[in-house]
Amino acid sequence: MSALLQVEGLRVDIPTPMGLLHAVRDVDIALEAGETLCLVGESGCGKSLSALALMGLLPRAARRSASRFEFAGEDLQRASEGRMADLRGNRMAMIFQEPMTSLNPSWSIGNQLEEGWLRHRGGPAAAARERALHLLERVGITGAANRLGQYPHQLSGGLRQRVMIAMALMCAPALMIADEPTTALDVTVQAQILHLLKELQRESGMGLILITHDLGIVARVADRVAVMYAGEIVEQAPVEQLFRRPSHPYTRGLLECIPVPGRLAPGARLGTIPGVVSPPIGALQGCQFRNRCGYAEDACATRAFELREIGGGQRLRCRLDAAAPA
Amino acid sequence: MFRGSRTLHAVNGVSLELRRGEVLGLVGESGCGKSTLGRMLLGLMPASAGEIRLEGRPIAEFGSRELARRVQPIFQDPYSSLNPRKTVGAIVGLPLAVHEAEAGRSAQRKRVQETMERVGLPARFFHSYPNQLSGGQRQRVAIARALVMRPEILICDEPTSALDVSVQSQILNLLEDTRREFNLTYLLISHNLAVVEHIATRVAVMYLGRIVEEADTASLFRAPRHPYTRALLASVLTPEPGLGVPDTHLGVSYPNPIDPPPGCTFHPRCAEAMPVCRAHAPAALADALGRVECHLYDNEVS
Repeated sequence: MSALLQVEGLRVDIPTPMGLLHAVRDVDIALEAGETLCLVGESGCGKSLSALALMGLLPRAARRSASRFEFAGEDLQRASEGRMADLRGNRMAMIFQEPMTSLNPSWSIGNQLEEGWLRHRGGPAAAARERALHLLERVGITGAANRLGQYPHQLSGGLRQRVMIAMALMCAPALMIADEPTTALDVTVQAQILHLLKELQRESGMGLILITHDLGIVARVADRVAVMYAGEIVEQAPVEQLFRRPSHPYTRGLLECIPVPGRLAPGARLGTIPGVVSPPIGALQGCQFRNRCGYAEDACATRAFELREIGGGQRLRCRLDAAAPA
Repeated sequence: MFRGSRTLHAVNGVSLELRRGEVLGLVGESGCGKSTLGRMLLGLMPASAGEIRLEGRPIAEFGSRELARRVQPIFQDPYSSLNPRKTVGAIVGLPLAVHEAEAGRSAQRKRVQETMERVGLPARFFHSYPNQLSGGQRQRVAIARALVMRPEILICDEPTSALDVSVQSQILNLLEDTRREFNLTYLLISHNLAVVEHIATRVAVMYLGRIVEEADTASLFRAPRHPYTRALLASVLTPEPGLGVPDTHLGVSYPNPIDPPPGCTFHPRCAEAMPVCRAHAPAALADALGRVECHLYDNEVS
């Protein structure tokens, strides 16, 4: 079976006044049709830039490189900007975190939904309208016909995000990238949106890359998980394996930080990760997590660490071996 | 363009008690009125009807200075709640400059430094500006500013929602430590039920301006009674692989608060709605377990 998306050695470098920011380094992403990969990590870990790099939507100053970059068998490193524009919104689509800023306030919902279809498929406007109506209903928007004439400010946050999802689905993409699609939403709406995304994925067989900082979402949605820290994937595993046997000290630290109902005694202290992320600027050496890690040794400052297989499809970038299952 | 103005009942018929030393979690979806309630407790907004009493005295009788001495806020976004043109020392010290101007500068400075140390802010940040600090450090500044007057009550409105998870846990630990050390009472406004479960001792659930259920934390999470509470709890995604994403059955979206549905305002989204729910708002049932407003428990009232 050939993968839907096959990216190896992805790098994103951004010049800053302090030096070159190595925002994404050595990231491998392989995704099959129908599969969900979660990229998880905290602010600044490079998860959103990785997604933008995949879509070819990086800021102008950023430089992207990869040793392999294939989407549905096509080498995208050789694709022209015109070819990318043909693919985006058509075969690959993206949902952004903040639906208010990613919808155009001066266009009606209907026009925004139809634009992509008309650009990629052409044909009569009536067909585009029909597709837009169908998808608005599909994403659970009541009174869809009236909504088409409304503007983003007339919709609640949850409705706007549903519109974004409907828009991404217009041309039935093979790959959907969702960057924190529910972070701005209420928990009830979050559950509805994620439920909907998974259902649509089951129907259409699209590959889904979901970017989040929320380990609860990861556990419920992912097939495979990649944990990112300071621009690198530090651990990667099938979802059950990651939660059963988190092995990187950063992954374990993250899991201990989150309150889980019923797990801790009332008033018990949560785990913490001391220190702050140092941005990966300039010449980098050793493990970037070492200054916050309880297991760091002298060698962690100098040695280069590969993401190596530790069994069961789990890969780890650390001097330590696999942890004992929790 | 200008239609006649209509009244939005942001908070409607709420009776709530905050007991000394407790952490009361106030949960609900955006627009339910939880932040408005918090603002009223801070004296930032008057109630159109009803009364808020602090130790039995209506807060309207307190001057704003006296109230601010005893009740302090911590807001969600430490990027917008701190003045970007003031140093950390000036931000934390402002309440002292207002309330205890007579104490003298060096005494004030000492208090600021002690409070900064207490919340884990290194003394070298005294002359720093907010934009030089990380999100977690900024929230520590906001906490230090709230604590510097030694208030009795903190109104924490989504205190960790803007923070990364590893920073969130540090701030939650800090809030718990300071509560014990200074014998504080918290009102914790949050939509994150895992956070509420972790630090609240009692929980009130708000829906469209009403408190639909109230109980101690353990019983609310173990045996939620109101269908809305159950839906809220069902939508918490705990990190347990294999469980999938639950279907909350909430269906239609949150109603427009300016046009609340008749009867029980939750009935259009309620999986257990009965004919009576469309016609009559439920009365509150208060018992040993807490308080719930739902027709499912009507026979227990009679």
